[in-house]
Amino acid sequence: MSAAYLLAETSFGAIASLLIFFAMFIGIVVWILVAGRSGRWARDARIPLDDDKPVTPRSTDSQGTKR
Amino acid sequence: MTAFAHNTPSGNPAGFPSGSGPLLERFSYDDDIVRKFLLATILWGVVGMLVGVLIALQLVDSYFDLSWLGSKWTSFGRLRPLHTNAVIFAFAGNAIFTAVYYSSQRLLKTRMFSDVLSRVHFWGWQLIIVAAAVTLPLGMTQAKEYAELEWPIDIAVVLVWVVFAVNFLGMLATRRERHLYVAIWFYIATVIAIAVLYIFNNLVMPASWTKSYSIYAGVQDAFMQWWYGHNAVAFFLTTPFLGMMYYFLPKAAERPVFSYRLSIVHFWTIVFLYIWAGPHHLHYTALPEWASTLGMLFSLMLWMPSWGGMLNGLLTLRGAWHRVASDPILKFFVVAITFYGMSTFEGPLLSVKSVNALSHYTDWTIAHVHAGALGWVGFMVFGMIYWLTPRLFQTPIARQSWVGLHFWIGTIGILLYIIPIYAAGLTQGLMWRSFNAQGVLEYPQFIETVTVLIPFYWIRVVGGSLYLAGMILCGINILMTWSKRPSTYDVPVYEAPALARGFREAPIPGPRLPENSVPHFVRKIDVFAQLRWHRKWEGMPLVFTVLVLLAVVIASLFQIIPIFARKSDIVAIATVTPLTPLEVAGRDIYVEEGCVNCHSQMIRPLRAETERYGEYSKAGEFVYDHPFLWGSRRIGPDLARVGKSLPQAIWHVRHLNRPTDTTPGSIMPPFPHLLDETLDFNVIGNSMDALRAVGVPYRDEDVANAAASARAQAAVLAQQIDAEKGPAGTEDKRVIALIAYLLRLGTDLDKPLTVPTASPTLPPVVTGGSQ
Repeated sequence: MSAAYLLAETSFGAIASLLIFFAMFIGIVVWILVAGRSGRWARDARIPLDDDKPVTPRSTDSQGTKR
Repeated sequence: MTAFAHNTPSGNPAGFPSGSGPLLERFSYDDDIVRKFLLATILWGVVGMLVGVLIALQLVDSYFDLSWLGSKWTSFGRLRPLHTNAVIFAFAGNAIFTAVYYSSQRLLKTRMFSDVLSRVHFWGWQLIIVAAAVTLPLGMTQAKEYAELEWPIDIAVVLVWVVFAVNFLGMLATRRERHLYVAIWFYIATVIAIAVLYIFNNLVMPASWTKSYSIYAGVQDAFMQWWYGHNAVAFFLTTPFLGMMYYFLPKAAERPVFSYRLSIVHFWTIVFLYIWAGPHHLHYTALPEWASTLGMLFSLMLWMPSWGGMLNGLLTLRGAWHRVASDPILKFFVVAITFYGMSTFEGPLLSVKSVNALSHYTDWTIAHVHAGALGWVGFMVFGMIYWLTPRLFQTPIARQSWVGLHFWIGTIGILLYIIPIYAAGLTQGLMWRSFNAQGVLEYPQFIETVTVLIPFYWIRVVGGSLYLAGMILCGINILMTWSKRPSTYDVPVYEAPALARGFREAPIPGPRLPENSVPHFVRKIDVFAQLRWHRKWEGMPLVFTVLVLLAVVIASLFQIIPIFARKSDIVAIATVTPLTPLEVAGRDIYVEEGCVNCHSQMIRPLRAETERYGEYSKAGEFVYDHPFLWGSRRIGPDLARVGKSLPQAIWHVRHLNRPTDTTPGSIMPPFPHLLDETLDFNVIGNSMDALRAVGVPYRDEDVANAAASARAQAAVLAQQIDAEKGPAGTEDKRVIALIAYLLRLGTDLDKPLTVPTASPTLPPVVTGGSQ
């Protein structure tokens, strides 16, 4: 029984992909909600709140980019 | 116009060194152009919604078609495109430009690229709107939804859009903020995708300055139209409004967006998935099934990124919900985002084939669209207008209490619009498919399924009028505020360093997880999941723009190439031949009067439809159909086989003259002018020439003899009408052409098969449906 047979001719492929993609989806949701609101994200998210001061204006000083 | 004391950023001698820091540049924002777009938004909002209320009244009673005033320019078929174009391109369009011009300058810390381009954009767009408002009632239309404008206006739209694109993308080059904020990504997607969609759906062959034919035919034209139509929803009514949400909601709530990471994920999924979803508008039509299925699946997937956007909006208000109770601006935004969530749940639902079999062609679609348009688009715009007004006009809003009043009038208006129209859609859809115990259609007369809707349509008039009243209240409030503006606006000058050249993004850090603690691929995923690569893109607008363009174009080609390349999808039918010259003229009148807005020409292979209308429609029947006229809503019955079901010319004369004469209770507008106006036989050749250029196999002599052939067919048909005791002298009237076309519809399948010749020929001049 080849892998190709398993994937194409049985419901194994359909069920396996359903499980894989569902797990992936849940993983992405958890990853977004748990870890998405810290570090550089918090800083970029503030860009609209200040009308005139760039948040990340320059580069030559590495301070501006390392965080 | 306000005088500005602004400084150009580049090579500015006023830039001065400040201490040991970098050279600072001085700049100010152009709010004058934002004020212009804001006022235009309100003006066109009132106009577009007023036309909406008028056509809602027309569906209650054809009295409101105003034909008793002698007007043929105000029938439903001509005004419905005016309403949709006005609210989409004029109201929502100007609102988008308001948002982009205000927020991009501040998010990028730079002035718009060019003040001249800004003004060319503004006045060009308003001129296009005026041109649309004049030409659509005159019947100049390409007959494709939201793409009705004829080709000279299309060219103007593309040129103005290019001006906008240069002005916008130019800002990305002169920006002082290194990283592009999420709202800017959505604006980029809008600028790029709309250009691609608009150009490729509007490719036409002109027959004159005011008439053209789509270069695509039948199935392919239908596919292109809904690839465009659905993505107009995606990239005109969704992405720019999500950009608006990502800027104005944090501003109004005074807190940053909930999750930047979520915005990355839902931005790219929306860009990748939306473009595939168009075919869900064509379930059970002659579109090949693989395309239909793909459209359904991608629509289902779209549910998740859409709700990602909704959640990111709603959760931005975490910890600020108490302010929603007292701040009508936040109320507008919260209800808008809630409607976005409902519409983007309902959209995937409606794209499921078995649901669509019920909902398609009914008012359910109209209710769905208006939940999105009035709830999401309209309320986002109102929230933005009220937030911007005191800032733009630099004075407190004239009547603060009216803002809350507008919110409640608008909300009740939406509910009174959508609830009865959902009920109307379900009622009609269920009546169409209802069989009695004997297995016969329970409501065989189409008109029975129309008159039952009239009470619902009355409630819609009330709901729509309330929504319009809110819009007018908003307009008066803003005008009162405007009248209290200062004599000169304060234009603050800001200082910021220019972006340094030779910038290097910090290198992508290595894995955070210690070696050997986890499998190697987990460490790789961890590095990927830090999204530093995306941060790099955010600092490279050109790369970002190209990536968006690639996402849109490649996904499109996955569907477009097979639609055009797979010959087996469109099986030719030997007896299907091009229209005769008179029928071509009749089809032009059908397009001009906007018949397609209420009548489909596409019988689905469902028992209820074949019982009611006859044999289901085949792809091969539409190979000469430029543009396709399948329609999307059956306010009246399907006409794909009307030549078979109603073959008497005299019936059509009476029906077109006054529909209630043949169909008591009909809400169709009367077309008495068609019986009076003389048909211009001499332009038919031009039309056939243009059709020939897009692939309809007319011969030189067919084109040369077009007028004579049309007159001959008209004479025979007029004699028949005369003999049936109809009005005399119809042989040179426009009605004769339209009737010739109607009598031809659906009859090709039954024609005897003639021996095919080397070059396809026109059928002999026939006497319409009397054969």
